[in-house]
Amino acid sequence: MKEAQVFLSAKDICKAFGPTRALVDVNIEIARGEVHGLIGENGSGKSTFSSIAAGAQTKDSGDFYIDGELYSPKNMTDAQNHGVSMIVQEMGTIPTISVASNIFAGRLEEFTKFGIVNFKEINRRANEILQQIGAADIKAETMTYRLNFEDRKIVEIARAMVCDPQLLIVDETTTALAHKGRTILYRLIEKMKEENKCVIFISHDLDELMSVCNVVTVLRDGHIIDTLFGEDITLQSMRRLMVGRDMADNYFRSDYEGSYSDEVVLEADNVTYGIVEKLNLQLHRGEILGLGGLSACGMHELGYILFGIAKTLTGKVVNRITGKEITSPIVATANKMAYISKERDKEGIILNATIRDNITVPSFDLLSGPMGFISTKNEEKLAEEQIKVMSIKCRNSRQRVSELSGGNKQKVVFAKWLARDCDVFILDCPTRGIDIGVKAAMYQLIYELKKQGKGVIMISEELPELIGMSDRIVLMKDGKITKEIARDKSVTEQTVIDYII
Amino acid sequence: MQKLKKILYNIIMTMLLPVGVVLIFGIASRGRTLNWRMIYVTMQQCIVTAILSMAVVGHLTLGFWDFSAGGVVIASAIIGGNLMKMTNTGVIGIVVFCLLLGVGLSSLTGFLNNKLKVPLLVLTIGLIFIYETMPRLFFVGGITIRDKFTILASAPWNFIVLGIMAVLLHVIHNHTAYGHNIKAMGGSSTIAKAAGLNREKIIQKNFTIAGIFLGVGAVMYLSENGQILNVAPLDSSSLVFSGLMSYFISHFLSRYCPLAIGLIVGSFTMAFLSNGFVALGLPATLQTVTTGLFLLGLLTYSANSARFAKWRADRARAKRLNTQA
Repeated sequence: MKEAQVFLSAKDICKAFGPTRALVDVNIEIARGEVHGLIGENGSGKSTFSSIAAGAQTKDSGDFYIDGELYSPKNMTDAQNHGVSMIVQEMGTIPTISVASNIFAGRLEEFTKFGIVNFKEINRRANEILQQIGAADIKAETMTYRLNFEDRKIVEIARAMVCDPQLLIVDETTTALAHKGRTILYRLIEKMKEENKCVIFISHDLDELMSVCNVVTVLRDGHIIDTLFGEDITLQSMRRLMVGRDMADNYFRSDYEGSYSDEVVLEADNVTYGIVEKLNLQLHRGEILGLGGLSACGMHELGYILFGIAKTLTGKVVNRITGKEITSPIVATANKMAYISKERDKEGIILNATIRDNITVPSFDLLSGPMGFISTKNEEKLAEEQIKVMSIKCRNSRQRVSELSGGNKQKVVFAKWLARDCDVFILDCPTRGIDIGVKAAMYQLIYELKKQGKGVIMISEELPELIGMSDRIVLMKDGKITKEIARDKSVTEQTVIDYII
Repeated sequence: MQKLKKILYNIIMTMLLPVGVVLIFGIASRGRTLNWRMIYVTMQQCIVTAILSMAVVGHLTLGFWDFSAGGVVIASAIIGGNLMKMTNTGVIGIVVFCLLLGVGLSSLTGFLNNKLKVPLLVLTIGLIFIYETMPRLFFVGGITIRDKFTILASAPWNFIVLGIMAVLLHVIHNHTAYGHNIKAMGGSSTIAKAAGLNREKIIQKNFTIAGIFLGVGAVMYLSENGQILNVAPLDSSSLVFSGLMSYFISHFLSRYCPLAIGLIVGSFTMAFLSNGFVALGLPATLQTVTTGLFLLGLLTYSANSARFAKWRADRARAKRLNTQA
């Protein structure tokens, strides 16, 4: 039955990046009417496989077949012409051109007559597609840089729909989407399924995978481990197959005590920036303070204010341990504060630098000798220590961070601040886009920081994470605090959701 | 009505800079520079710079800087002019030969850039020596043309040529797939490539199109001067540098007018600055420093205007919130 319905089949696909084998003899069949989940730890080969199928990368060996015919796309436009579209993991729109030009990038020639492009027609078609996917509020003529992050992602969704794809690949897109974007995407997936088309869905959110997919293939280190169908798709089975061992249902902290010291380590007094207005907040020693809400509620801006990245228009932020007012990231770092950005690749790490350089950058003042020189030996020692503590999977400390998987990159971000022995940690979406194995390790680490008496602010859009890890949850909406909830076993997602929507 | 108001506002904002410069010099020179003759002469002077600035628009959009562009102009003008003389083809000969040479040499730069994979800056520094020296090998004395062949440098022909090139630039950059593809490439080369744009093809096309403007620039340069001598190494680079200044000004004006108009206004402003300084009797060194400061001030304002606006808004908001408290 399935054989007859197969749309895309991959036979013995191999791909290597230098000595790393990203895909090893991968065989997958994607059938019509299927929402096929691809799961695996960071670096397991999911994105590599899907980007090859979508024409964004080339394979080393093996073959793809579409409806039984050999398929080897030259680029993403060629793949689209064969009915395969992809919404990519990282930001994939060009800011300097209009929404319509982004949607039809690489296809403008199709609208050209005597050398002149018919932009009226392009705008009309783009508006039509935006309307079809439920994003009529985004206008085709708008310059893309004027859109927010989520709307740009929606433009990518629209671009993927240009050629009425038979196979849509959604690569960890939902991480970047809030309610509006997710609604659009889920509706689209449902429509694809109804129309007997197919979807490859990549996500680290196993609950989401369970609700969206009817087939799930598990990859580990470039190999296919297993494929689950229908009722076999359970959280337990997916976790086990992904990490290669049984994992507990709940990988958050197990206590519900919610205790912390009375000593305030960081205080925001009457702060204002962006949507945040005259807000007060206190963080205590040994406390994990969860900041939750929808992505535009102001919690990310509050993170900027607390670390001095954004200057508050009113009031002040004070590190109560040192008594210093935090006015810039330099002051914050000097006062043993750490900040982990939501935008890891842009703000958290230097992609083209080595792991050693990334880890040691905030600690140069500590590594400097009396004459101001930095000993390479000490640098190496500090980096090696942190690589060991954080179990960063790498060749050595001189490997470039850009070559690491998402989870290991995040470990480098944590390592650079741990090396400095900070007292206050501001973590903005610390587990965004990383697999459950690394996630569990991160939660363990955050809990360890609490036990060491550090103050941790954890900004998160994931309610289970906030409920599972925080001693106290501060919920925000429209730049204001709407509710403060103490740690308790009875707290559920339902308890908090009313205060953020 | 609203649309008309907007158009009027944009025209006023576009003209504010050149009119302001004219008025400032008019006041400083006690009216000596404030006459139509001076404005008309400056308009004629800025034509070559404006056309050469149009030639570098594509490069700058892609984030390139072609050092050899000035060399292409010199080589096209000297060789093209001499070929006209040899074939006795008059003004048409100048246009055809200069255009062919401009397109040919600029396309060659693009081809070598795609094939040799050497950084463009390094490649074009090498090529500028070749392009500048090449005419010397065949035409030691450069080129001198008779007055009757310089007709394109006189009104109305020079303004007609400028108008044609401005329309061409506007159409190419706003209404062709190529224009949008280079904007996409310049915005994010990686994403554009992933979307199926052929980087090498776009770059090659960009150099060829730049060659058209360089070729016409050579025609106008030769027509304006009547005589062009072979230049010392790297001397030709200054030719296109003035075009670069106009490009910066056009960027500043891009909120109010099309790119081509911005380039013409920018070229006029730069030319009037230069003439104004001469009229004021300022020493050459001081002229250069003042021009530099003017440009720096303009670009600083342009780059930071959003920040200034935000700073003002933040200050007002802080004041309001503190009063409420």
